[in-house]
Amino acid sequence: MTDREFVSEISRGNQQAFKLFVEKHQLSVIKICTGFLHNPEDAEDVAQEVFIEVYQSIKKFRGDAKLSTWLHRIAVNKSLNYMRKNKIWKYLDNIESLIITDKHSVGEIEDNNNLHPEKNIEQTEKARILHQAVNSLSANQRISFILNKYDDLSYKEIAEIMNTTLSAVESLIHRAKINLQKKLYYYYKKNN
Amino acid sequence: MKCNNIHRNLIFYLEGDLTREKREEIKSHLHECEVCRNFAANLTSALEIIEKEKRPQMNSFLYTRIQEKINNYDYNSNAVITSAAKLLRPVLILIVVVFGIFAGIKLGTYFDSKYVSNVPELQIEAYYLNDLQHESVETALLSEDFETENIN
Repeated sequence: MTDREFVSEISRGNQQAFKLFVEKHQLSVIKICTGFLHNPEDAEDVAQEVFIEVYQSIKKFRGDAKLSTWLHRIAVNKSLNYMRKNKIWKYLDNIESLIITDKHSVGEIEDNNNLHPEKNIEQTEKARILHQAVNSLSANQRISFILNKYDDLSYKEIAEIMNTTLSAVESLIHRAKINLQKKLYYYYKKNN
Repeated sequence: MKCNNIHRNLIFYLEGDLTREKREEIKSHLHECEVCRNFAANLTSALEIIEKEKRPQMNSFLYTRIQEKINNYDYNSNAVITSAAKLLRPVLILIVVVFGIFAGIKLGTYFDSKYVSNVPELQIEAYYLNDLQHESVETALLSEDFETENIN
């Protein structure tokens, strides 16, 4: 189905078309939400909100940009809003997830190698530091980095989503990588 | 190639974003420098975390849950309740602020100097509250002639 067909059918309430749309884009949306939220459960919650927003607002879609661009913008905004609302709770949740292994964030070894618990702790700690470093980037650097690294979007696609130029996106991603590297370097230097 | 230069370019090296010449330089340096090699290993494992997060386990019931939420969403009443709730909070805050200002003015009026001067008990209280009369140093400092008195 083309974008126009999706818009037309979902606006009419065609559930089959909406289901196709969700199945086509769910992985991309989950990846973006995971990039911001670093927690699979939260990422899924926000992804649901994204598709609900699409369903409710599809009639307002003007067709100025691609449907996927619009969808990605909603995913970014919903993720950022979620982070703002849950800043305090997320902090407590991260501390809890370090202690209670049932509630995990991505980064832990999935096979849960109980023979080497130190390895699990090390992996969790590395993931936590990485997430902290990514979250400490400026808003635009973080958005462009996540869209590029997590959803493998091209610079051109990111420029459309962020409503900016290609060269601006190149610069943002370049600086994001440098800053990320710097933060990780200071952390590893301090701990080694 | 110095270590600082390596650290600036390491992430680009690991992602294959450098020219061949620069890649060879960094590769040669990493072969010799343990510190940079360790950092490269740490950075690689950090990037691997991202690669892992990019492969989430998809929930096959995602669409079902979305559909459930949409079906349970009561458009009309929810819209009204949401609008009312959004309006109520700033109105309540405004009421509290106005009440606070009004209460403060009333309280201040209660301790008005005229009123105080007419009520003996309050005069005694005001006397003790105003300790400038007891402290000659402060009174002296406040005096306009203080500077000239001291100089002379």
